[in-house]
Amino acid sequence: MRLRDSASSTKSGEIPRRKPPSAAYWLLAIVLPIAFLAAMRHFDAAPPGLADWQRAAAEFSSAPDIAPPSLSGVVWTTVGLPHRRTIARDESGVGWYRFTLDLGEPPRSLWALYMRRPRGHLSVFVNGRELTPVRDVRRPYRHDAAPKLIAVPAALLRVGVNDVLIAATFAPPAGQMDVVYIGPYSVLASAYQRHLMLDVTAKQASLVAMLLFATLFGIIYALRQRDTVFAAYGVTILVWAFHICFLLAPDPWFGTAAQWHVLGEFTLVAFVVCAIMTVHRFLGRRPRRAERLLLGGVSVYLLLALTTAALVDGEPLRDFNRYIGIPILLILGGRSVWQLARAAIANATIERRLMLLCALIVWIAGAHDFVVFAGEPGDGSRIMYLPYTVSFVLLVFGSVIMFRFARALRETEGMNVQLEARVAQKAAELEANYARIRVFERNQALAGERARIMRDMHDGIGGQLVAAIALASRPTATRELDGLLHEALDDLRMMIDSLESTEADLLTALGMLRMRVTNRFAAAGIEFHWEVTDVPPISDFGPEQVLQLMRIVQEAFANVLKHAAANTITVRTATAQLASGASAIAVEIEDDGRGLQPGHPAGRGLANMRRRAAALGAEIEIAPTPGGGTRVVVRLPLGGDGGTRDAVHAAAVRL
Amino acid sequence: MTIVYLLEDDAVTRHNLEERLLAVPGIEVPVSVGTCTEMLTAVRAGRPDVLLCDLQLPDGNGVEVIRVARDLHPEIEVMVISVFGDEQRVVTALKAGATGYLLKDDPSSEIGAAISQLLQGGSPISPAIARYLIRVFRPTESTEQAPPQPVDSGIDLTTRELEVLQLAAKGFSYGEIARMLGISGATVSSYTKKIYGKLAVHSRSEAVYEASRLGLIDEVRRDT
Repeated sequence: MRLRDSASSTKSGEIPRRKPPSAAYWLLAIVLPIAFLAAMRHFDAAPPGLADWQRAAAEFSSAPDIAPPSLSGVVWTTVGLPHRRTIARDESGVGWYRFTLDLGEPPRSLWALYMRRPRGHLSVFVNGRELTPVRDVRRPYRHDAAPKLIAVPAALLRVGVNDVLIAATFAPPAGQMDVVYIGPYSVLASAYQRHLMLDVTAKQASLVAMLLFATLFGIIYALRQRDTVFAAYGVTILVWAFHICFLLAPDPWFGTAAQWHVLGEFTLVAFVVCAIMTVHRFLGRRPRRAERLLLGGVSVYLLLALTTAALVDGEPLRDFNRYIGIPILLILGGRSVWQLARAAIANATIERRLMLLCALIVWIAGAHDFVVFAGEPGDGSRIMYLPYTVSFVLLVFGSVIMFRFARALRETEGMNVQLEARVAQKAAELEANYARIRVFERNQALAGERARIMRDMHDGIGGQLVAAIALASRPTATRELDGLLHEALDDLRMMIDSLESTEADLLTALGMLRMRVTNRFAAAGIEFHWEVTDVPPISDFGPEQVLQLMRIVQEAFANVLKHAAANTITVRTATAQLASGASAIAVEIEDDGRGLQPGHPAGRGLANMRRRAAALGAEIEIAPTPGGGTRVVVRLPLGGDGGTRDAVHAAAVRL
Repeated sequence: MTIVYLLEDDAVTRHNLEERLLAVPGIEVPVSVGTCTEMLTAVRAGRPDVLLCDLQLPDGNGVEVIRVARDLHPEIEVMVISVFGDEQRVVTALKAGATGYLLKDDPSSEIGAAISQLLQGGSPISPAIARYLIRVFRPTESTEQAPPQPVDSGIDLTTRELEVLQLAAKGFSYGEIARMLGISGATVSSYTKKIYGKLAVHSRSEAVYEASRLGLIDEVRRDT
């Protein structure tokens, strides 16, 4: 399952389309950026009372020496603050700013100098005494984002005119002296605290959060590489974090200040490009040509910027960036905002609405920065708002991932429920199928059994009754009739006994037969020898087979009763082997009578016995015994493998 | 004097049986009827030594009559008349309290001997009935069609009784069984009668077990 934008799944119809955003949402989309701008303006404003101590102008001298110039012999010109200077590559970049402080009475407490955004090394001298050390001017130096508060001990100040000198060392390509405040330490310190929080601490906190989020998105991407939008989130945040690093870092980590400056501006460009590509991925679009064009343009720009930084003094791309580069970025960014807005109108998922709000704020902050810095070049008292939109972006990106995670969980749960329902349905279908099969099998079995009973009745009792009716028409046939009717009843009993028997009960079936004839043998004075032993069960030996065997044995009994004139009859069972070598059960009926007489009417009975044995797949042997009697042996093949057959049978019974 | 009550709906058969009974010295047949209602009235009014009864009757099942008669007179003998002596019918009657059975048609079967066997404490058995009894009391020996095992019925068969059943199921006669076990033929037939008594108790406890399983009766009554 994909952690995707819910809108992209509408194609498969899983999630219904949402209505366009309400008027309240659009009101929020307007109010939120305005509120953001207002809040930033409020926090950025100078603290009350600070303006009283502002110096908007200074006397300036570009003396190359870093020792404090004497007050005589130096040409001072009055400049407005903030004061921007372009520094050529071979210039030292040192400049002196001079202020006077006229005190009517001796100061009772600490005084201070405060600059919010001084771009260079600073060294402050009060009445000729150095307050901070002058650093090596040859060291590349760009700017310091942190505000500067320099304490002036009361002892250094005197009643009347005090001389304040600031040596500012700028690195190529440019530097800027900010507005200077000279006043009581307590007033300036509170402004310092506030600006330090806004300009440095807040950005540092953002950086930490950004690195965390970038790592998080990186992990998600590593785990789920199909979800490219998380990679895009991670890369965008990482590039942006680099940009903020450049804003915060006072000194270049490598290369010259000019190259560093170019890289700093490039990170901003890269951030915008990443943001645009993130929006593409968020919306599930991949305009390959447009993205290739974008990346190509950025590469060309980077090459151009690095080349000019290496070859040309100053900031040759400064105006290009301001009047062409940044407007292009704003237009491209605006296009992304427009895409998000259209997507949100088409299908207002919560993710799209949040992304649109976030993009709007980022874009408006960027536009604000462009207007402020392009319209009022050199105004160092204003800050860029763009870095402060980080929190919104992280909040929205984080929300998107949470929404998708929650939805994925819901979908999984829903699918589980569905799956269970389907399994239950399938089980029910299977059960119904089994029931149908069982009914079918039962009907089959019933039909087979019915056919068998019909056959058996026709074979036995039917023929006997027909013969009995024929006999009944003869007035003298009472005895014969009685015998026939008893035969019919015997046959019926055998059928019933066979119906109740199972394949494991061969001896019981034989025993029933014995019981049925016991009285007749006793009446004929024939002694019964019952020498049965336990025999293994026979495969597929059902009522039909039992009946066939019973009829064979019955025929043998009848022959002994009628024709053998025997004294004893012996019934035996034993395990045996067929001629083929297969295992079998032997059933023997042996008498000690006078044996088979040639041409005897028993011949038809013997033929019947052979026919029935053939139907059973059994061998039958009818032979005289050494003692003159007759022995009938029926050998029934065991069939199958006795051991596994039992297991199969038990399983069948359980089913 | 042995008093026999006869219940048989087929008039010809009833006559035939009556004649055969009366031919035996010492047997009286004061009641010979064709419906359950008449027989129920008769057994409430008087006590026979032997009740000889058919199962399928025009106004009901002979099993009900057997049950009522055994409840009223626990000491009487009940003999079922059967055409085939088949397992199902005879077992149903045995469960209701019958102690013997008689084949309807067989002129050679000694009705007098059968009755005196009963009165002397013995019962007849067929291999199929013996096999059925083995299954009832030892359901583990054959998983097929095993009735549910009641919880601790306390009416298990003795080893000797089981031996008798096993031999009878293989078709051996009482005489043969007696020789093989070294006991008298009368003893073997008395074992059979005891087993029938256990079957009746067993089937009653089985019914109680089933009923309690289905929640038809509560624990207290089961304990009593």
